[in-house]
Amino acid sequence: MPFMGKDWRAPGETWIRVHHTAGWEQIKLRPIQLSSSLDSSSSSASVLDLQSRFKRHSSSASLCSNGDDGTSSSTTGSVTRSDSDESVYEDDDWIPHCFVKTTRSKEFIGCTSMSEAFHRLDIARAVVDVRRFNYICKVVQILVEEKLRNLSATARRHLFAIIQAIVMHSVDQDVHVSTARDLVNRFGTGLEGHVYGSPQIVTRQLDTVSSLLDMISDRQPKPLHDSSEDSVTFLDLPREVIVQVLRKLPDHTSLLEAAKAHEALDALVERESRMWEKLNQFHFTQEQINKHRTESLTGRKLFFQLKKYYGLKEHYADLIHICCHCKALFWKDHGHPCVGTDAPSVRVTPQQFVDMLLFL
Amino acid sequence: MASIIANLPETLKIRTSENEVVEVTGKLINESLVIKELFDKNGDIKSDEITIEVKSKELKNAVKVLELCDLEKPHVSMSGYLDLATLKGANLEALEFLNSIPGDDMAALCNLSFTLELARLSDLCLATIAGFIAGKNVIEIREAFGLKNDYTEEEEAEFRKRHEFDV
Repeated sequence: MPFMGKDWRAPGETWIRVHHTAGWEQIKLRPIQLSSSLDSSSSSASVLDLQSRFKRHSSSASLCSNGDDGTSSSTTGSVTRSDSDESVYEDDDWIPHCFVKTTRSKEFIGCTSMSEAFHRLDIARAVVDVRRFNYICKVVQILVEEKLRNLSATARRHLFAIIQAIVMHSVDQDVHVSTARDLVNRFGTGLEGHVYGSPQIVTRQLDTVSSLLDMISDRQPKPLHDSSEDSVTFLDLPREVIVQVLRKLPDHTSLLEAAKAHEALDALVERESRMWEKLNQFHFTQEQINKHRTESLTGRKLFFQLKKYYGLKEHYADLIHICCHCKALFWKDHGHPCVGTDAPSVRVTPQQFVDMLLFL
Repeated sequence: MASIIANLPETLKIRTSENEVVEVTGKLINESLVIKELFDKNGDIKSDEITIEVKSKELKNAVKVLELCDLEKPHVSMSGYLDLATLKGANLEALEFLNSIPGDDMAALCNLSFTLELARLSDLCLATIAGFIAGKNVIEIREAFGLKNDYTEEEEAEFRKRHEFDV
């Protein structure tokens, strides 16, 4: 029987026995799978701890591979891939990128397996990068809300590992807690009431969802209010400074939540029309604004009216692009190793990225 | 090594309101419009010390944060919240330090940055404080800032009615 691989002479994938899943897993997917196990003793484990475990595993899992000239090429701390990608990479020098399988169709950009894309684009580690966090959260949100039922068990496990990384990062840094909680809740809700293959795996994932929600609830919030009588607190800051802080909030939802938190903040949000004007100018064109603006409408009401008509503009500090030359997906800030010099690239929105994925 | 900024000294001593002397480098002086103006005013007097009415602890924190930034790169002011992630990504060490200091020191440092017109430090402080609000609900924001829920039930109902179309 012929060997079922890309090249019958290829050694195939490299597998490792994993105790926490009582099975075998591919080494190339280890960084994501390391974060899959969540037990009570590691409830306060940080993502950095996961990364250090990944690095230790990578160094212990380095393999010798014979190159074309017959010399062995292995370095401590590097992982030699034994699959179709022949490049040897080290943790520090490897640029996350993923090639997309393309067709001749102009409408269809291409596709890649979800597990492969998540691994090659280093999504798990990108969670801790403040520039990519929002993009990854949006991708996860789309997958959880729209595609959960289409995912294979492996893909679902990888998705859940990313969600766990998001939760750990949020709890550790005390940021975007509501976002993390919302994602976990939606994932748990999505699992219920539908047959997703192995009931044991689903039960285990639902238990982990409960653990994650407990972790979020039990976290110690980082307070900004430990103060004596003489010290300056947030509300003691000049009004202009507080307004500047509110203007730096990333979305209107945070602005409204801040307004609900205290009447002083509510008064500022209500009266600062410039704040809403800036939001309008960012999300909508001047034509759209002029079309709907009336004298009776405040900046705030105008914003919500325009939002209903046109939706909000998506903007991310760092996002995935696809190279027009080599069809590689890569993070814009990191670039990618491309044969063509100065090849143009096109931004890939989270929805487009999800549409490219094969849920394997 | 001579200071790369013209007319500014290699180091400058700042006497605070608590009569403590804090030494700062020319690059740090260049960050603050107020300190530069003060230095220019005292330019005729050959002294390497100026007096500013600020607290020592706040000034030392400011110096510490700025030392963690790459002052060679000119600072581009954050025009909106979308630059926040870019700013954070470029100044991770400074933000880590800002996140580690107590809340009242954080607020005082923010105040100082505006007083001395330290644009880079101001943006970092604003980004840090905004980070405590972003992605959180009302209860979490109140916990973070020690805010009490002073609303009565009627005020809550009126608030909900006023914002019922805000979706």
